Amino acid sequence: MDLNHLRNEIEEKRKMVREDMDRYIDIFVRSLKASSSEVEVTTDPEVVEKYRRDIQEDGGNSIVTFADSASVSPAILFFTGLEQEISTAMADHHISVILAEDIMPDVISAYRLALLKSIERGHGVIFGSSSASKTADIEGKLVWGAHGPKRFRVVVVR
Amino acid sequence: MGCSRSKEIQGGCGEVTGMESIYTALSNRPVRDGIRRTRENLSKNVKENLKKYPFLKKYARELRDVKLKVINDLDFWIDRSIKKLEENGARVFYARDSESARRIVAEIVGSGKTVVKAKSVVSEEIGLRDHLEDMGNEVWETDLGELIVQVNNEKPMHMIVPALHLSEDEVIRILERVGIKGKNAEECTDKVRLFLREKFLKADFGISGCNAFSAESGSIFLIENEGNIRLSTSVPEKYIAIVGVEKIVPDDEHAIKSIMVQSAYFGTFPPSYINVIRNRQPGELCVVFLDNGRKSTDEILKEQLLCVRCGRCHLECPIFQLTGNVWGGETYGGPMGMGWSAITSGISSIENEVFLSCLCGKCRIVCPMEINIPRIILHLRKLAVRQTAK
Amino acid sequence: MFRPGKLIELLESNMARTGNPLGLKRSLLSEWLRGLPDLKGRDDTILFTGLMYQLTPYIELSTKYLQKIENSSLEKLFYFYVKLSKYVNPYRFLTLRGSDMERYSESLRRIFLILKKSGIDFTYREDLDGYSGILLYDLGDDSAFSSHAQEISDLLENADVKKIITVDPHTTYALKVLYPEYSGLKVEVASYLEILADVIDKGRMENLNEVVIHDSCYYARYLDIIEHPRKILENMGYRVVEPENSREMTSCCGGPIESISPVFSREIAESRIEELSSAGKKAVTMCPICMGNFERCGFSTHDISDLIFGGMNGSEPSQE
Repeated sequence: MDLNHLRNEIEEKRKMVREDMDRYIDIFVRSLKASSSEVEVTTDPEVVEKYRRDIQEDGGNSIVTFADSASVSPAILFFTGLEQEISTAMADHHISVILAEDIMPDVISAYRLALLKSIERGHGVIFGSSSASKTADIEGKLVWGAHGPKRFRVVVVR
Repeated sequence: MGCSRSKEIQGGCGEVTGMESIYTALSNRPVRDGIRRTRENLSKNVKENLKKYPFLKKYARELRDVKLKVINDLDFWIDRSIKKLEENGARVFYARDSESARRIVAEIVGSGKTVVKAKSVVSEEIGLRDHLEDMGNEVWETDLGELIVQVNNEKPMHMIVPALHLSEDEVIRILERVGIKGKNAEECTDKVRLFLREKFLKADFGISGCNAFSAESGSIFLIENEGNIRLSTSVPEKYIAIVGVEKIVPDDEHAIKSIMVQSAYFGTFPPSYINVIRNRQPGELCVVFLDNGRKSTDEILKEQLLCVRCGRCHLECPIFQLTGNVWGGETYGGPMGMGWSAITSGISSIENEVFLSCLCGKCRIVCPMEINIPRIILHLRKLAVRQTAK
Repeated sequence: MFRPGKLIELLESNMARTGNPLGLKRSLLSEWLRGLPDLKGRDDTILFTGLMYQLTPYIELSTKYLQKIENSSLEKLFYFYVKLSKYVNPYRFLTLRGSDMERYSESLRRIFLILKKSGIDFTYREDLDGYSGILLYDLGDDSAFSSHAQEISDLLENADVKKIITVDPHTTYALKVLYPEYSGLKVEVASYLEILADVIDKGRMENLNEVVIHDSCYYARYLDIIEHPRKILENMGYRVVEPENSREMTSCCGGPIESISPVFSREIAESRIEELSSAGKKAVTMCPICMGNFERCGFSTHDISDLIFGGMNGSEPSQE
């Protein structure tokens, strides 16, 4: 795999999003809400610390992670690394922070950005989340929190 | 005007045996109610997905061409995939038929182990769960619907929605048999979560199928909504993926396109979770490629290998709507199940079933890969007739 | 489910004897010609009924009997009857009410008259009309279908036919798509609905009732004949109502498997009837198999020809 080529390609996409950031974020937020995910947009990077504190006080099995990339619509956040995969899969509440500059215009380039980061870090797994865990296996009734997080919250930092 | 052939066709295209079950299914009201409910929910979603994300149709068309290319040159792509996986440090196996696939997995797993399984049609195809249990292992299906049918000791009624024919009350009673006590769907789900969490943590092996495999990076792509696949493939130290050779696509881009198309045409889009596994360090990744008839199809049957297994043709088929997965072979039912059964178990496995199709052709219209399923069914009828006329 | 092989055996034996899959006397299939004016016109263009309208009431009659014995030990009776069929005309035992036949005859007569009235120049010749063999094809009996297709193709080509007008979707599919492939037929084939869509003028009648349209699987999904019937009906002043599942998503009437499994066929019909009847009072079909199977399941539809004929003559067809 030609990593430089991949980097250039991602830069192009970044530029594209940067030029129309408000609109992209707007679409991203709406897409997440359509999957019943909670989402907020902030310019304060300190907000992450606030969440960490909340979680500690809460005492629940929650986790805050940084997403490596995201696609704008449908909104899917990508992450890398096995350890992180296990801990997010086991959490009851997954809070995910995404930097606006890592939002990509489509799923394939979002995957590619995560792929690039996974190769750089030597991570063997890439995983994507678009909502809390759900099932409709019993009489078609939608239930949140089947095996994974019962809540999925996204914080967009711009 | 007459017919040239005067010889009597003995006993028809085989005796019509084993067809009693379709009449039992027909009188089993919950089957069709469940399918109807599932269809009403999902068909609406599919329509909305395709409208909201017009690129999906483009992906599907492109995927058809790319998959066709792979299927016409399977040996090349299998070879390339194996090399890449070995480069990545995985243990790779190749199984010619279901028996050898069972044997390979059984040798890896051994006995006295705990195994957590993601729902996988290909593992049904090779009869893996029963085999591992017979070898003295504790095996758990971790998809909620699949766990329910496992406990109830029956066949999944639909590939993706295995327990659609069971009512909430029936599920409550079934789960009680393994000590899971919930008063409703929500409670049952929560109790199953706790019950299986313990199995995930103590499991020695995780096993899954594969939704798409990229030959470029040697990665397994999986989609789901529950999170059980994520846990099955990451928590146990050792992970085994069983990959039907037709799942191979040339690169990651098409693997992503394939899982996007599959989930959109099934009706839940985007999927809650995407899992891509290139290697498992720490831990071990074993990949078993499965042929089991896929490499020796004739030209018409070959088209079935393009299938991304979204389950759309099932829900839209007038016969499936009445019988569920009962109409079909051992594993594969419904319209796509005719071709798939013929590929993996031979024509004799569905030689009567193919004649029940209306050839109404709706399966072809709704298929994202535009597989001419009625042509495949008609082809199988011709082969069945020719076989008896011999 | 009846054994496909036995059905094939029956079809082959009936066709060998009579040229039609039910083994009916030819005279029964020509009754619809009664009272028609001059059948002659331009002799290189022929109307080809494919016998489907004529056969349908008999198919429904036998399906009613088969339904009673399906999935029981009495299925054997049918296989016994298959054995006899080589020697005895089965319909000596089954009698059809005149009115049941008359409906289908009337539709055919109307198709003939509509075409004439619309200025289409064609001939009908009994000796050039015949069964297409489509059931043999559907049952996978390729060799019998192939030789039958060859016979019919030779017959048509030897008579210097240049254009064939068909009246039902199954025969249209056979002649238009399968014959060129199986027997090299080079004659132009068009359904009368395709022809009428081009010639029927707009606005002959106003404010006729609304009709729920039931697309035939073969027209809609195999032959792309979707707009034609709509255009004709609308030009005749009908308001066409689309039921749940229409056009290329149309739901099957169950007819194609009525002889393999009358029970399943009926269930499928019932679910389609539910869709049609919840969309409106009056449903229109364009295939005798659809109409017959719905009728067997207690749901009356109007053949599209009856509506067109009614529109042309300024009257609604009477409710059956």
